[in-house]
Amino acid sequence: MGSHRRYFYPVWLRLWHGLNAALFLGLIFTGLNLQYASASAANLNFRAAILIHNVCGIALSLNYLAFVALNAATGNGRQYLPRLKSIVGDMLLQARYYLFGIFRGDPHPFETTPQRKFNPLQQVTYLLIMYAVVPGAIITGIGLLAPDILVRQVFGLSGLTLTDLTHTVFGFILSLFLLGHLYLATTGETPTANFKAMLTGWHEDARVPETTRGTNP
Amino acid sequence: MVRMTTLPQDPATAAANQKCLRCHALTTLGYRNAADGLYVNLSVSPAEYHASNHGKLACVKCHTKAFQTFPHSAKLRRKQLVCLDCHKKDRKLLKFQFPGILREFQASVHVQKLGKKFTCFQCHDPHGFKIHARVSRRVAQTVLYDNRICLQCHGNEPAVLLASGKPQPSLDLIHAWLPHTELHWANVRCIDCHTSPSNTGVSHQILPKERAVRDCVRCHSSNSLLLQSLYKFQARQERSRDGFLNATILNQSYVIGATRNYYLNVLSFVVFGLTVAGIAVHAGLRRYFNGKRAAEDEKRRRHGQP
Repeated sequence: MGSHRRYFYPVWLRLWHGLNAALFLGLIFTGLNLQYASASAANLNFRAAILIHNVCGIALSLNYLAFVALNAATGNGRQYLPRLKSIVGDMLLQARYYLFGIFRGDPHPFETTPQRKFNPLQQVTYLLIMYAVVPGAIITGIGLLAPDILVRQVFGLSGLTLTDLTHTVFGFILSLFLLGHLYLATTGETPTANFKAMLTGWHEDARVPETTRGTNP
Repeated sequence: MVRMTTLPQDPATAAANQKCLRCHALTTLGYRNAADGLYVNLSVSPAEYHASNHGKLACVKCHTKAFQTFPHSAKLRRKQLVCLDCHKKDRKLLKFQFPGILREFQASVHVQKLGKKFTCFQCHDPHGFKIHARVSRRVAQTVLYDNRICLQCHGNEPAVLLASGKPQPSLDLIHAWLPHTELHWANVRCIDCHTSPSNTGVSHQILPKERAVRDCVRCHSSNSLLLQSLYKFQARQERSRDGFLNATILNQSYVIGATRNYYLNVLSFVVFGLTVAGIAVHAGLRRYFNGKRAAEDEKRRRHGQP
C-alpha cells in the first residue's frame, strides 16, 4: 500500500476556488455586519460594510460566470453530475461511511480519481450549492443592488423585503455549507491532505484494495 | 359658486369667508414687493383651504375683523401674524405641544441664521396646512408631503440665495454619499436626519448641516432612530407583528438592520449551533476512535502481530 499522487486540480480551478473562498468570507463577514448592524464598536462601519459587500458580491458573480464558462469548456462540469440510477444508494453508502465507517477506519467507499473527484454526497451538495443557491444569492443580490428593478409588492408584501429575506436565507445556507465543507475537507487521508491538494493541485492518498470500495461510476 | 353643503364651516362663517374669497380666490392675486423684488402671493385656493386643518375657521379669526374693510389699511397689512397666538392658548391643541415646538423652532438653524425673517409661514402655508405624520397610515405620503415643504426653498435656488446669500448646493451632490439616495428620499423625510429627536410630535429643531445624521446605524439597527421620528405615531399603535422586529417599519418599507424576523433569527442561531455541535461531536469521536485504533495497532506491533 504505497502513497499515490495524482494531479486533481488544474490552476484555473484552484484560482477560482481561492478567489471564491476569499470573496465568500468577505461577504459573510460584511453580511453579518449589515444584518446585525448596530452602533457597537465591534461592528464594521455600515457604509464600509455595504461597499465591501457590494464589491465582493460583484466580483464573486463575475468569478461565478467564469466558473460556469470554464466548467463547460473543460468538461469539469461533469464532475457535479451524480449517477442518477444509483444516486440514493450511493448517497446512503457515503452517509453510512461518514456516520460509522469513518470511526472504524474503513476506507472511503468511493475512490477519488481525476475523472471523478467527488463522492456522491459531494456531487449532490455541490450541484445544489453551485447551481441553485449561489445563483439565487447572486440574483437576489443584484435585486438589492438595484432595488428599482424589483417588483414593488408581492401578495401585499414588499418585494424588497422578500428579496432581502431570500438573500439572507441563501447567505445563511451558504455559511452552513462553508462549515460543513471545511470540516469534511479534514476527512481526507490525513486532516490536511485535502487542503494541501487544493493548494498544490496534487492529491495524495494511500492505495486501498478496490474490492472494499463502492463501484466508481 | 362653491356649494355651501360641502364646506366644513358653519353657514355664517362660510358666508363671511365668501366675501374674502371674492378677491382672494383669484389665482393671480398678488404683487411684487418693491423692497426685495419677491412676488407676494395673496391668492387662496378655496378647495385647498377647506380641506386644510384650518378649513372650518373664519378668515377673520386670524386676520382680525379689521380686515373686513376694504381696501385693507397699510398698518394692518404690515402686521405679522403669529401661529402661537391661537396655538398656545387653545386647550384642544395642547397635545401638539406648541410651546415645545416654539423652543425647537427658535433653536433651529433657520432662526439662528435668519432671525425674525424666518417665521412659521416659510414652511407651513396656513391656508393649506394639513396634519400628516400623526394621522397618516401611509408613511410614503407623509414623506412626500413633508419633503415638499423643505423643497419649496431648498429646491428653489433663487429663494435660498436671497435668504442666505449663499447659492444652494446641488442636493444630489451633497447627498451622493448616501447609498441608494433616491430610495432614501422616497422613504424618509429630510427632517428625519436633519433634526434632533424630540418629545414634540415632529421635531422642529432643524440642525446645521454639520450635525445632520450621517451615521447609517442610527436608523439601520434594531433601535432605529426612525421609531422616534417617522414611525413614531405608528410605532405606538403596532409594536410588533408576524415575528418581525420593528414590524411597523417593515409594514411600509424595508430598512436593513432594523427589520429582522425574530423567528428566523432564533431558527438561524439554533441551526448554526446544531451544525457546530454536530461537527464538534463528529470530530471528537473521530479523534477518540483514531486514538483507540492507534493504541491497538501499537499493542499488536509490540506483540509482533501484523
